[in-house]
Amino acid sequence: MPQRRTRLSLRTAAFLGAVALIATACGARLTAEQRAAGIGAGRGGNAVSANPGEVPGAQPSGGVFPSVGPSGGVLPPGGAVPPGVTPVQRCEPSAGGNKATDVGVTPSQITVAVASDVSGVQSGLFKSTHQAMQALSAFVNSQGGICGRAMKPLLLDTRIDAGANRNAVLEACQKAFALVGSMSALDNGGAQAGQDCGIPDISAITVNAARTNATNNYPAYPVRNDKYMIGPEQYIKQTYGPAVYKHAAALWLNVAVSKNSMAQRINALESIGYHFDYRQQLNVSEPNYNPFVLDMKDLGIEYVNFVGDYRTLVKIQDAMRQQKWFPKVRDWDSVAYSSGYLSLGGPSVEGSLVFLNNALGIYGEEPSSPEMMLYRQWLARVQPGAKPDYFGLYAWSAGRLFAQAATSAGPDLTRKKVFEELKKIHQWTGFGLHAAHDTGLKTPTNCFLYAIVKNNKFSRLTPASGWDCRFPLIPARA
Amino acid sequence: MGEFLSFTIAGIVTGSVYSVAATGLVVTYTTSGIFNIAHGGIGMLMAFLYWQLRVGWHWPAPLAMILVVFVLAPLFGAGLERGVIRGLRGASVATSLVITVAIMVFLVGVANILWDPTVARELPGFFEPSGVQLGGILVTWHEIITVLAGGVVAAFLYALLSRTRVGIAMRAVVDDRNLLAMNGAQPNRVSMLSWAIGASLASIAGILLAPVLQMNVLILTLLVVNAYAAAMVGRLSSLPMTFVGGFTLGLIEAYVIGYINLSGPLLGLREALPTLFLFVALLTLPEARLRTARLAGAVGPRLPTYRKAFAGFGVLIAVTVIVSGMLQPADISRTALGLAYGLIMLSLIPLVGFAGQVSLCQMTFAGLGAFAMARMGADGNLIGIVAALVLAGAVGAIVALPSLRLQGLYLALSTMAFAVLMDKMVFSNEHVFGNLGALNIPRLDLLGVSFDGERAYMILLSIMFGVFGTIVIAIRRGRFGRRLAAMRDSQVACATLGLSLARTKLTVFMISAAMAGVAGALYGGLAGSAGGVDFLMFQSLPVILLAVVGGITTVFGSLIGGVLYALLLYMQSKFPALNGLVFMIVGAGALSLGRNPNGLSFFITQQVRRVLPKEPANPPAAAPPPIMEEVSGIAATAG
Repeated sequence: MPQRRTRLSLRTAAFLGAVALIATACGARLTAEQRAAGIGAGRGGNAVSANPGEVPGAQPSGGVFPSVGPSGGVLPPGGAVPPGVTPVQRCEPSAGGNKATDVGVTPSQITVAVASDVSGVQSGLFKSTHQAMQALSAFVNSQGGICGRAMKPLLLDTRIDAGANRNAVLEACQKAFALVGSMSALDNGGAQAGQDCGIPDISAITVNAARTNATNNYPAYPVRNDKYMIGPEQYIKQTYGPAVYKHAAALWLNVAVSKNSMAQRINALESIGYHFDYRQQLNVSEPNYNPFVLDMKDLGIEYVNFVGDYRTLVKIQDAMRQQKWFPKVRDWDSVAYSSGYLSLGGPSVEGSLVFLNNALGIYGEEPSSPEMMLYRQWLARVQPGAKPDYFGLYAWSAGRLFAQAATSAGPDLTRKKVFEELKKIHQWTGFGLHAAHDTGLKTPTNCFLYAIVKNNKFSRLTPASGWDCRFPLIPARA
Repeated sequence: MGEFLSFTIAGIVTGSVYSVAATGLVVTYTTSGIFNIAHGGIGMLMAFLYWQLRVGWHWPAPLAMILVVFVLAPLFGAGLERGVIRGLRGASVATSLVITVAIMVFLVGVANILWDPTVARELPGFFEPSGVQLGGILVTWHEIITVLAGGVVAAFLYALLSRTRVGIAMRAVVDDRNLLAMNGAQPNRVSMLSWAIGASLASIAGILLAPVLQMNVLILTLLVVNAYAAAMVGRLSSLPMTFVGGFTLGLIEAYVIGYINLSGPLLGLREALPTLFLFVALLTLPEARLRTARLAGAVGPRLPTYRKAFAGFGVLIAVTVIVSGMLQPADISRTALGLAYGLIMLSLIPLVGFAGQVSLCQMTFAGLGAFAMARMGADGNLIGIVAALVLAGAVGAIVALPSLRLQGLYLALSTMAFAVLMDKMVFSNEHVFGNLGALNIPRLDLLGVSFDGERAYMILLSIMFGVFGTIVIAIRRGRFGRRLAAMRDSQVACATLGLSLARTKLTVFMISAAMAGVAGALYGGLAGSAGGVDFLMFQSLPVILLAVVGGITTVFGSLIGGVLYALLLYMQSKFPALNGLVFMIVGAGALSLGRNPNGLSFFITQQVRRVLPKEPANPPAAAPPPIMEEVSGIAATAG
């Protein structure tokens, strides 16, 4: 009897194993080396339909520079950059040749680690940061690298897990010169480890206070829990009046970060006169949003704000459209700035306001800054089929920030010197990718713009150009 | 009135979906005796297949529906019965639960590989967005069709099961297959038909749900947990009562949204309603009859002597010391994760391996331990570990108390319900894991010896594995272990001889939970921080599956299971594109080994014994004394 069960068990396992292998083979991918060298051809790392990859009018840089240059020699001069793009600062190698001056630095190469959530329960969460850093490295290398050294990304997956985040930082500490462009929902896991080993950590966006407050962390977008940006809500208040801001609704997902964020938001808005008639926590797997919509409709709500993911937001707006209820202001933050939001939402999301502190143009809106076009162009070249997005944009910005600081530090590159350079930067815009954050003081911008969804596209609503920087940050209370 | 009507309609629509999902569960249970935890996974897979046909390949909706609901789903269900479920005949409830959990995890992996999770997908509802105005609100055609589908399914099943020969055969097959065969029916074909219908019903629920929820693998798979409550109201046998349960749950949810303002600590209560409903339904079940004796497993592993056990632990610690000296800190931490998971899996042995009780909430107890360590173990002092042990053990007792009258499947479901309740109401509360959902967990500082370094902590974990392993072996070798084995084998015999099943169950739950709490404190210390997301109910599933793969009855099995889990997670990090493959391997491994509770450890030790020189013949000193003697003092035959 046991033998019969064993044969049956083996047969079952063999069948399932075969299915697994076949399914895996269907997802054949480029090798990491091919991507780093920008030789991407054919299908890239994603089975998604490609956004328009080629940007009209952009001129490709002269040639593709391999990720690992010849050791000890002078690298070829950088190629031309598109008009309006700030080239990588030129910096000659050391007289007598570059040396291995710190961890992750060789005469010809600088290893930068990117520790982001790629696999895990929510697969592909911040995969765009890996892709952006690969594209950025290829661009920097095409410009001659950093003082004669090529940038080599070391891609690490943190699996939406604090322990994995810590392990990734530990690995980066021993193998890489710096952490650049990382993004992780549980980035608190690696905060202490990074601080202890003193690795420069130029994250894309920090999520947890522990990571932001770490002395080695200088993110491209320094999110802080003790300060709150009130400008967008002041604009709403001034534009729409008390009929709107005195009848507000707050919705948020039953997730710790969302709850905390909405608590801060409500406190901040109430301090400037908003009144929330309706507050509702939503489950991630809510089977029906109609009851919430009907509740808000009955209460006469005219302003709705939500903290959570865009997929849930689309479901809420579908329910609003179903019940033919359209409050005057549907005010969403940057999570809605996504091609997925537009494609899933369709007519339901028409007229939504989306607050941004990054430049428009990720999804092909015009006008697009030269740096935005550069990001999209290199992403399309290095990762054909990859979609640019908000997180990838900030990873690219982090990469540019690192390149600037490292170039300013000179060919005798050390971690200490990079920290000194980072502390000097107080108006970091990613060369036009976003509003200016104070890197040295780790203070986020107080500037914003509003986009509006019109004809299933994001269009600029206000200001007419540039940023609205009228309102300073206020202290945040949870 | 308009408001009441709107909430009522919303409740009826939600209730319909729960009812359709629950009836599929009831059909497969009443006709095969197996509670299909993978029911939601089947519904999810069929929803994605329907999306692929309808949206991906632009098939007309009716054609796509017919293909999925009446061809693909039934074929899948029949194939599943033929390939996997049929082999579970006569298996314990624990085994069949583990197998169906393995199927669910496997299906999650398959879906993640076939459909890139980073792509946003939406499944349009039927005839959206048009509908019918009713009392001032718009009821969409999709919602109307959902309600009608519920009615049609109910009528169809009633007619099938009570008015047709094949339906009566389906009900007879679980009662007495042999008798059914003697009457000319073919029990195997009847079983296949039952599972084909069950899969079809799961596909209908998935296709109806997907436009309402997100096209998300996990969300669609796990929403069926809400349907368990409806199935329990029907006692897993009555279809009309199942429908009553589904609609009641849907209406309660809608009215709570509309009329009860929950805030503060009760904020999570609304999301926890289906689980609370399930809990209440389970507790109001009539007390189950005790099981009579069943044929126990075949050849099992030998119980090691203390000397051999200590030698084994010594080897483990020595290997840890050597290996940790050769690795870099990041790799030490990754390797140590295997020991941490091994500790959690060790805590399952007394409860699942010895007592045969399935627990689907072990990571929840681990989470309580991590929380206790974070709050009470400042600077790593031992009080944190003690607090972890006490808190988790106490909660284990609280979980066990209402579940004492439950057995087998219902007990397992009650542990699952408890885990989901903890997820929604406790772990997500900012007073537990802080405003941002995570706390720093200090590493143990024992008698002035700090274990902050990676190598030191890994050695500590190996020492703790030895300590836990000794406890587990001591339990098995002692009187309590014999009581657990007796309870697993024949509850009737135990009760007849005066053994207190309630006290035994309560004690083993407490011990298992307390061990898991300490393991959770150490697991949290390894990462340095932990939050509610680390201890969700879904995290408990691969833990129990890999414990089974390794061998749920042996300490060595837990070590294998823990190391396997850490290895799979490492592979997932190194090859993110293979994310789904991890789930598939876990599921496939558990499927192939789930019916053998001795798992890989037994297989490995058997192979090693073949190679090593044979030991001199000994009486079976490792075998425990006969069970009856323990209770009555009178020698009797065992089991």
